[in-house]
Amino acid sequence: MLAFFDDAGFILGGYLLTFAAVGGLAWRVIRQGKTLGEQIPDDEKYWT
Amino acid sequence: MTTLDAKPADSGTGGAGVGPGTRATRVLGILTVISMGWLVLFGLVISPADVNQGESVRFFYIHAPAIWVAYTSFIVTAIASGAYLFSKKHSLGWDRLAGASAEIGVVFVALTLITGALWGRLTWGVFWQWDARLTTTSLLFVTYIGYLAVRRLGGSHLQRAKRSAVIGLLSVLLIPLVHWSVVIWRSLHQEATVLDTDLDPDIDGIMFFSIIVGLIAFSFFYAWFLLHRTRVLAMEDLMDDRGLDAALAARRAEAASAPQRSEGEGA
Amino acid sequence: MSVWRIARLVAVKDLRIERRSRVITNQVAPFAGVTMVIFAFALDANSQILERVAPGLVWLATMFSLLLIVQRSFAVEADDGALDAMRVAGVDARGIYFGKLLGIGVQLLVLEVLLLFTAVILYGETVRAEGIVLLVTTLLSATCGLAAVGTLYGGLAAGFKGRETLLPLLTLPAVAPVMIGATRAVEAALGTADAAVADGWQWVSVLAVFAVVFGVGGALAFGPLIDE
Repeated sequence: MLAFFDDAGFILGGYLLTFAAVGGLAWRVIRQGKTLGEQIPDDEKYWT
Repeated sequence: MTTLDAKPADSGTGGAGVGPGTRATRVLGILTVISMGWLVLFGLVISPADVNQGESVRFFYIHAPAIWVAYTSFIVTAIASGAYLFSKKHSLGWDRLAGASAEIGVVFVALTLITGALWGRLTWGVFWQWDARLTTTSLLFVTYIGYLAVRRLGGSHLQRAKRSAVIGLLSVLLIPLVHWSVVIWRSLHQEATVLDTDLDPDIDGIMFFSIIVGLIAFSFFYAWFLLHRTRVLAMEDLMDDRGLDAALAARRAEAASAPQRSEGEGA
Repeated sequence: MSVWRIARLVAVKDLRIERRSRVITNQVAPFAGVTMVIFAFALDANSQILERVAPGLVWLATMFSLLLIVQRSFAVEADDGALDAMRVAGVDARGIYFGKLLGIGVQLLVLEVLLLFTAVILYGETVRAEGIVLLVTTLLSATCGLAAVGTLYGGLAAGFKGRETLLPLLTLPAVAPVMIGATRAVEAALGTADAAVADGWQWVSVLAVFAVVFGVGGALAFGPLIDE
């Protein structure tokens, strides 16, 4: 039973780190997209 | 768990202001969030502890999908690099795709190594082993850090694209060479231990499914990020071009007004 | 002009420059020698450990020296923009690549022999008769691989301001297979840790394949990389 609590820290930490990394990447790319999106005219964006 | 904003804000003016989000990325974003939640549910709650490894098997639901997605991303980088070099148009879109793919690949290799180290610590008591897989993965990581460094060397976009494409193809060529030599090397030193880092072949049904959930979640994220990041890179390149145009226009304006000044200064 | 003629001309030019300036002889070789001494400090001059790891240390010192030799080889061109001048004049990039490779390779080979000598003296290594053929083959094939990688990434990174620090980052992971293979092969040739000579030949094949792959790949990639 005690082993579970030792392990739990590592495992939860690992999952948290993973989602922090994924979330961080996502947040950064969204923020960059917003900032740049405001500065570039829409007709130059190939996805619009 | 962090929430991913799948709906980038529109400024609503109709002129400049649209972000890189489109319907495709919104759908992918929602799917990513849902499947990530699914992964947490299955990974941490529903799937059972392993008979041999205990709870530490839960790392596998991140570790294995992460390296699979990483390998995929580097192959995409290689294909995009080849497409840039060998197509007639040499469209920079391929270069940006290659770069975005490698960025996420590097992050996922890092995740693979970290979750692997944590798993190893729990299961075998050591953070690291010099076995074939770990050694190759660490070299893979450094190789693509080098690729990203080459992308930042500066110069024109075309220069960046050509350099990076060549390095991208060479890097993917390195992978089998490194893998081959490392595998032979470590197989010579295979001590008869239980320190087997291979996936347990008799994996329980739910555990296998959990890995697949992880794979699905990371794949959706990969696709979502790739679309967003490629578009952001396109906008960055457009900004560079506009910056260059602005600088040229400013210099021309200076030149136009300069003759009056120099005459006044008594040439 | 054929690729081989260009390569020979470039290589002879580089070696002649080295003969006159003696940069490798006066600076890199002593550096390599000092590195071998420093290794002994790091390993507490424990002669058993040193003898056991001597092959590895030789190749480590070789690898560090490779970086310097490559830097030097391309710095020689950068000063007068010689590389660009050759390309503009229509010189085949493959010829330049193989010429540089040859120049770097010869200098590296001489250095490796010196380092082996140093290992015999400083670490108490012994060279046995039955391992000589293996040893020589290893030196040749490993050098080809190292020179191939070094020349390729050197073209990209070395000789340009602000880019020299990129060379180690690109080169070291790429030469990992050579480090592994060459060390194991030399261990087999010298009989370190009871390695048999027969084990070494497997590694020589790895080294040979590596050299061919990077030699061909490098020749193809060198042109695009230096054309800027």
